[in-house]
Amino acid sequence: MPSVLVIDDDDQIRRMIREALEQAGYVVQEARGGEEGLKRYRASPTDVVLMDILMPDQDGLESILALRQEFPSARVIAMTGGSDMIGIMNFLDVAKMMGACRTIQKPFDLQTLLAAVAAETDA
Amino acid sequence: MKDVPLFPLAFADQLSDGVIVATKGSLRYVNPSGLLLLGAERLEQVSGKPLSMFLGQDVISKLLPWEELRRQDDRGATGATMTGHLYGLDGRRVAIRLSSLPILWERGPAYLFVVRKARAGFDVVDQPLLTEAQQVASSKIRTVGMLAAGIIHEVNNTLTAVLGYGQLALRLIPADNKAHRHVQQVIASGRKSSELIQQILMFARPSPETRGPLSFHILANEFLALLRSAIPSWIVVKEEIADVTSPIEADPAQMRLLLANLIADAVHAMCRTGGVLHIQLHDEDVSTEQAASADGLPAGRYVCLRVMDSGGGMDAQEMRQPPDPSATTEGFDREREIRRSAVLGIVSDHGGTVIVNGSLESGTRVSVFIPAKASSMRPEGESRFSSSRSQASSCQGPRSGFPEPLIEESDAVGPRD
Repeated sequence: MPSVLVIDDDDQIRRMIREALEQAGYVVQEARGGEEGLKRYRASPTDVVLMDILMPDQDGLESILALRQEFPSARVIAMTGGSDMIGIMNFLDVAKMMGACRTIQKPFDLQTLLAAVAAETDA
Repeated sequence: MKDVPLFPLAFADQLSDGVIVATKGSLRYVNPSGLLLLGAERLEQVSGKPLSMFLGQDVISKLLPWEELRRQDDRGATGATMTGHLYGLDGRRVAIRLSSLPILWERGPAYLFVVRKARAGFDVVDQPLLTEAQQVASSKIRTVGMLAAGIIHEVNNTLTAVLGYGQLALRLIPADNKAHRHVQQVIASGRKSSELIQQILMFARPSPETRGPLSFHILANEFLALLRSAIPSWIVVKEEIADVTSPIEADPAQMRLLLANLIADAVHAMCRTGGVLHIQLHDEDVSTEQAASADGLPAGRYVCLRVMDSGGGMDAQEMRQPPDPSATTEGFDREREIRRSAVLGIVSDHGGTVIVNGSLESGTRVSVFIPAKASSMRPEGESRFSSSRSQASSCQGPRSGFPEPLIEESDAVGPRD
């Protein structure tokens, strides 16, 4: 059964994603931040990592770099509702540069989320 | 000063604007877009060369001397935006818009420059040195931008939960249950809010120009929906947007900026007294005969955007003169000058024409003519170019470089038609 690690500091969103993924048949792990996520991945690697970008302890961009350095084959889907209004950086573009294989802009429809995860687990 | 770590330079390599770092008067780093502007293929061709070899005196003279820059370490040196010239390795002289920011580079003072080619009539606003008041205003704007970014992050997260839990709940409620329809409404409202936020972001983000065929009526309808709530209730808004307009070759971000600037000026003029803001958008055919009387407006099919206020608006007198780069106007006057410059620059850049009628007292009518993509003439009798419009003089962008509007003051103004 394909597995997904959801890393997001927002409890509500993390639980919602977990429920949607479990209903779709995935085995789901959760982490509240980048460091915790890396620990969980080390302990039990998953097929896909769903990574939020703006998090208080270690942000998603750093976490993607760290994860990909240690596990080059890790498949990361970056997601964020954040935006830089002054246009210095588009977080999702940077996430791709850091090694995310796919990005999702929050808010999203569950179909969009499930399609992205399915595409990566099938890849 | 900000110490620049390696990461932003990796990011700078992806930017379409030129990014240059200089220390002690010499170039140290140039991103690929910057190399293109300098006429170089590799960093080695320009690295270590003096800055004065590439930047015109009109830019160099506005920068702090290196000794002074060193003393700025603890004072929080402020960046500046200016226009000037750059010289390529091949001797080309290029008009540029440049932003400079003092930074720390390898523990020493340095300048970070962001450079882009200036567009005729658009990038003429010169801000060599910020006054204290402008620094405070600029800092406030940056803070508001940061706050807005934070708020949008929170709203997007909230909407993610609303949409996600809504969709999860929908699966559990039978379709014939009334609650099913209610949850559907919640989801629909969430999506609508999400779309509004995306539209705000599209407008706010500086984006590389993407010009292509554009249906202005669709863009105008979407964008006006966004602007409507920002217009005070004591200003009556009358919109006449044609169901369909001819495609134009345009950059959507620039067209939004054009609408926003024209409407902002009209609203600002009426915000104390109230009045009527009239916005029209439709195709207009200009015959050869009419073109001759409307000095400077070539015959052909146009998409015409007309914004009319009932008092104040964009000052017709001021529109006669191109903005003065050395002007020291501040506050609202400066804002108007920037808006005027932006409007003229955008229209000029799109091969269009601006016609202004009216006066501050009675109201102003600004008509923007953007050439339709496949320009075609209607038979003479079908033209909707009215006689009052044909009396107005015009400014034409592309032929004169900077559009120079000539204004028919005697023309009746204010909401009409």
